[in-house]
Amino acid sequence: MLTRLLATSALALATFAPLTALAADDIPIGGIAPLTGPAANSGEALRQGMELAVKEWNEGKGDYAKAEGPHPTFKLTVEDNNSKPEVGVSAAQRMVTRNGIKLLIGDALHSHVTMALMELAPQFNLPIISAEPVSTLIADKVKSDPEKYALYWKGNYNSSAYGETVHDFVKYAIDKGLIAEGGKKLAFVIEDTDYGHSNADTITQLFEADGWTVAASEAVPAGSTDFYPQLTKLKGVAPDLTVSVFTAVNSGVSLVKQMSEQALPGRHMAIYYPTKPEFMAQVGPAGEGLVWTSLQFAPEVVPAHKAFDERVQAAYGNPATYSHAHAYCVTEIGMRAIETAGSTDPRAISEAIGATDYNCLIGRFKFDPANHTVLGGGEYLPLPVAQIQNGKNQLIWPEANATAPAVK
Amino acid sequence: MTGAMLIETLLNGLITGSIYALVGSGIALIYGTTRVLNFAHGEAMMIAAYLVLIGSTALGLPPVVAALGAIVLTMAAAALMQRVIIAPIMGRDDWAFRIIAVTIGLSIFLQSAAQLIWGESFQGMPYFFEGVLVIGPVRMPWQRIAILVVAGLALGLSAWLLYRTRLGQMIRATAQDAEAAQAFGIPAGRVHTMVFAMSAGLAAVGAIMLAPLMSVNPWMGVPYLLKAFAVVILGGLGSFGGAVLAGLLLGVVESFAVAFTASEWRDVISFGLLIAVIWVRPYGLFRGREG
Repeated sequence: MLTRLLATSALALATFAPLTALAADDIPIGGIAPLTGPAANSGEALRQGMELAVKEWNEGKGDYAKAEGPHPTFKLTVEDNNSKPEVGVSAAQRMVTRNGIKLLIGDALHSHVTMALMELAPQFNLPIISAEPVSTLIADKVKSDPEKYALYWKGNYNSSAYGETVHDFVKYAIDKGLIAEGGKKLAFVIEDTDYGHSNADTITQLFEADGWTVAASEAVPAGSTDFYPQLTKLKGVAPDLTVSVFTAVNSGVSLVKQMSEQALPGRHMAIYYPTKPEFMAQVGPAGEGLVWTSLQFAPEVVPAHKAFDERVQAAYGNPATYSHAHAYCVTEIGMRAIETAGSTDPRAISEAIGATDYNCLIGRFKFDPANHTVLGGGEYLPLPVAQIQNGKNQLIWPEANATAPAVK
Repeated sequence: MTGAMLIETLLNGLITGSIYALVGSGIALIYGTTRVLNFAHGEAMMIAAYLVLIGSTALGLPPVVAALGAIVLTMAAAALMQRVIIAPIMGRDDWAFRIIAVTIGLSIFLQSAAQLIWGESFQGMPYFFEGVLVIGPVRMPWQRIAILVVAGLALGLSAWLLYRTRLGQMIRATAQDAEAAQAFGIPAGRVHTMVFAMSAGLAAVGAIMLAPLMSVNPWMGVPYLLKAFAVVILGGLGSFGGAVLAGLLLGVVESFAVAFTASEWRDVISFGLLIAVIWVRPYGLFRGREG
């Protein structure tokens, strides 16, 4: 009886062990991004970033975790979320059941989609790492139930990091006489998403502690391009600082142009959308002097970014953006974690992601174990402030990394 | 609210409303004449915007020529779609629900086709009219003022066509009773095609005037479709004049909603108004008796 039990156990082990050890076949991994709809511009860049990372890795040009080979190879499937959580969840479920993915990079862009996708980690015992989403709500969710979300990791800092950057820069700019604090009136024009609101909430908290008041907070649907009603209202309250937050570049271009047309008083600081190359191409003279965060990808300034841009151009025929770089880095983190784990065991992969300390294109990736979120600022992922000067982006803050002094 | 703010708020509302009127009146015209709810109407805007972008930037045509070319080509595309896709389905029994499914499908197909052909990037184009009109504290770019003027001209021309020409008589007769009109020798099928083309032309005018203000992209027509349907219901299903007035009204209501509340409340207030109107006047503000 005992002999038979041991024999069957040995047979079972022999049969199922290869399921968790790294096989010679490509390991299936998945990605979720908005490939259709108003955010498809970012989604397509994210898809290309993920694909390029896998392609280079499989061709022996990856940034491997282990010096010695053989290295595992991967098969990437990227599906569309149409910027909708339910579409993203359906796509992820399909990839789990149809493709048998061992790791999901999702959501690549949206915080609100990530909030839904992260629920799949415990359901399917699937390691998940998001790329660009920053909403602090995601990190709070992890913190509220660490066991449930043990397999989920957030590949970008919290929106509080943006808030701190805006706050610290404005403080510096007031001290330097670049911004007049006037009556300390703050205004927001943001997209009506988790991303927009979480940024505004953090900035509000920090500025209110310094005696600022929120004179107006206008949240519009993502992709909006008519801001005249909001700007008429803002002119009435005459803010000293207006902060705008958009992921869709068309919203940003329209807002900056219309602010210029309306001669809105006070300083304007933008979050995220000027990272898109289309912004600089379309905004024209209206963008001159605009202060924004964060310039994390600058091929014209950083040689490594230029080299990456050339690789993207060669592979896809379009310039690289911050989204390309971020997706590339997060995909590298995922593949390196699987290689480090030495198997496709979800827990082992998750632990390897958590132990990541990796210098990639846009900075140093290290996770906070308390909320599974990439650390931002300081020595980690930087959040520098840029200003458009003579039609070009210049780093103006922190002063130590500045490529040009800020202008009034 | 100061006088300047009041004027600007009213102007903003009328400008936004004139776009709603252009898009909504087209949907009303189609519904009033054919009883088709065209969910692909927003894509007429998108096609026109891409055509004017190509004409004015890639081909280097003068803006007026590019705009007129875009309008004509969009109208031709709409006529073709009506003949090839809509008309055959309308010839079948129980076509009312099928046509909704078909136009939704057509909308998604056209968006995806545009993404495949022109890419997912947001493409900008220069203003047709540079500069800003400044009267005291009131500032308004000429491009936006032009929207109001051009929309007024386009809607005025459409009204003249509908109420003062033989073509208009044919459209209105077909709207009242297509079979009876056919018995009197009016080619109802051809009238339907012309109505689709005319409606697409109105949407094209709106899109062309908007294109420099909002980057051209495959999904640019989507936000306007929902508002256009609201306009059609508010104005009275099938009423061209009602849709025009309702479009302007909705634009002004939205503009003042933003001025007095927060932007998040804009749609709540505008659709709340819609519900209130339907509650009091189930057939809308202007019950449709004409196409």
